[in-house]
Amino acid sequence: MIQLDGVSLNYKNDITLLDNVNLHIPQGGFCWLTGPSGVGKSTLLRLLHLEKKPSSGLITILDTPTNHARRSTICRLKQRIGIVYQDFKLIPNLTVFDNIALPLRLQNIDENTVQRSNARILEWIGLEHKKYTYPKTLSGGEQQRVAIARAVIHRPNLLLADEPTNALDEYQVKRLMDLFYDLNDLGCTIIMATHNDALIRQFPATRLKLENGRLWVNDAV
Amino acid sequence: MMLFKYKTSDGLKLHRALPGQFLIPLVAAMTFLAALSIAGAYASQQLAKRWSAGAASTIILQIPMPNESLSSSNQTTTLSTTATKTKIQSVIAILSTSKELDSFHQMTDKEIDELLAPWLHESIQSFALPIPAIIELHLKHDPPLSITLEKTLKQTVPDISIEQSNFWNQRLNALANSLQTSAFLALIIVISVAATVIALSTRTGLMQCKQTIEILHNLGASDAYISFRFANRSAFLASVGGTIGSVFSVPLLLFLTYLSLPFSSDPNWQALSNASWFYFLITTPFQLFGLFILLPICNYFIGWITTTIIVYFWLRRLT
Ligand SMILES: Nc1ncnc2c1ncn2[C@@H]1O[C@H](COP(=O)(O)OP(=O)(O)OP(=O)(O)O)[C@@H](O)[C@H]1O
Ligand SMILES: [Mg+2]
Repeated sequence: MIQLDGVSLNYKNDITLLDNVNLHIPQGGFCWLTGPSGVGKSTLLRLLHLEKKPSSGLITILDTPTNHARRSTICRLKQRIGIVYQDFKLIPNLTVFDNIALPLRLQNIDENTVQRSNARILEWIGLEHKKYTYPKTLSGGEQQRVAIARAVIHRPNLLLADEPTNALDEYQVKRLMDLFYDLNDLGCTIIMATHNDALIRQFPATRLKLENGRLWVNDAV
Repeated sequence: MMLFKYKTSDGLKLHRALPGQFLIPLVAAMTFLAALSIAGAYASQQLAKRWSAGAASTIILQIPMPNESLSSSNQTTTLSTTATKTKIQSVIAILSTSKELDSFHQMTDKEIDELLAPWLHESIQSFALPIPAIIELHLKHDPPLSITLEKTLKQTVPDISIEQSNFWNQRLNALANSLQTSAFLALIIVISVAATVIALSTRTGLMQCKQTIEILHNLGASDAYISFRFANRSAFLASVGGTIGSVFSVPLLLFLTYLSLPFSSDPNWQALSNASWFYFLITTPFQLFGLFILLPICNYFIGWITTTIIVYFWLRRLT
């Protein structure tokens, strides 16, 4: 369960990105997050990923109130969240394989499991032949697929995806949506930011619209 | 604690972020200075030890011309039967019957030589000097000697000298203590400088890895994991520096030990009243050489602790 109660976020230069936002997403929900460029979609995802603290308001992630949570609690919560960054944030000096393995290795999962899960996901993103290459030698779409693989390898309870489809072709988008639906069926809550209205029409779900610091919720038609 | 099985595969290039070429020589220099200050404390301890052979409960008797016979005019009635004894014999006779002594010991020529060796460089026997007999008394209680015993001795041998002042003893102990305190302060300063150097290098390393650390943190790396990685590297570099520093200090310390050798053969060291923790730490050269193992280990821990603290605070500011 994800819940925001009266969450506001201001930057020091008096920009109000979020203004008294309230939101409730039950466990296993699927939402689109839309809004014009620069409105604060990525910032909202970062709040939900506990990388930022709100100026005011309460944030509950995976049933855990986070405002006064200890650092160790936040750390364990992050291990249950998967995130695809808009700019991928792959570690440049790690191979594709090691980048994808990070969430598992940071949880100290045994290396056999890491190898097995990684092989499966590499096959799925179609990059087995590039598992020992470094991110900078990959195309944008390939990097995005690596970022997606890293976000889902540890089967998170919450998946935050920031425009995960913008570098993918139509076939890859279809496969990605299949994967996300599969994860969703397994009980993973998914919040996906996008500009792509066609995609939303193709895969109808609850739509969160961010505009002028306000969040509007439209249930799927 | 979370430990990575494949330590190199988290993207923290620590051999690049925390390079050894500055940290190791600096820590080595600090260790060298630390070894010197410890050796200084050791040497002053040895000196004090040697000089305070007459410790609190010890009294020195000097009997000039010990083999002269006592003239009958000097004899008291109680000792009238000892008329034919020499001075030294009568003194020993008195001491053997005294109940206030724990033990007494007449110094042999060899012992006197040893005592004077640092100043004379040759046997005292080779000088045509009249040598007094020296007797060390160990009292059962604290000094001074009881008046009756002192009187008896003085009456028997009028030119006996009874050295029971602790004056020099106290002075020497005070000197040794102040030297040790200075050495201890020097040690603290050296440790602080080393910790500062390690802290600065850690900060530089953290800045260099900032982006990777942020990503790792967001993927669920705990503070403990990141600080463990840095602390491990720093502690390794610090102990390498420590080993080099202590290896370089070996020749110097050997030399100092050689210089203080004449001062360190005192059989009465147990009697030293003013035994500080430092004294126990460095009583013998054997223990001094134990320091060469101890110094790198200390460096390891200083490196570990400093780095852990710095990384924890830095991470707290990061998010
Ligand atoms: N640290 C910051 N300080 C000040 N302003 C910031 C900061 N971070 C982000 N912003 C501003 O917040 C606004 C929202 O940024 P954000 O990246 O969340 O937008 P977005 O909705 O994701 O846009 P896009 O659709 O283009 O990705 C931007 O105008 C950005 O300049
Ligand atoms: Mg964005």
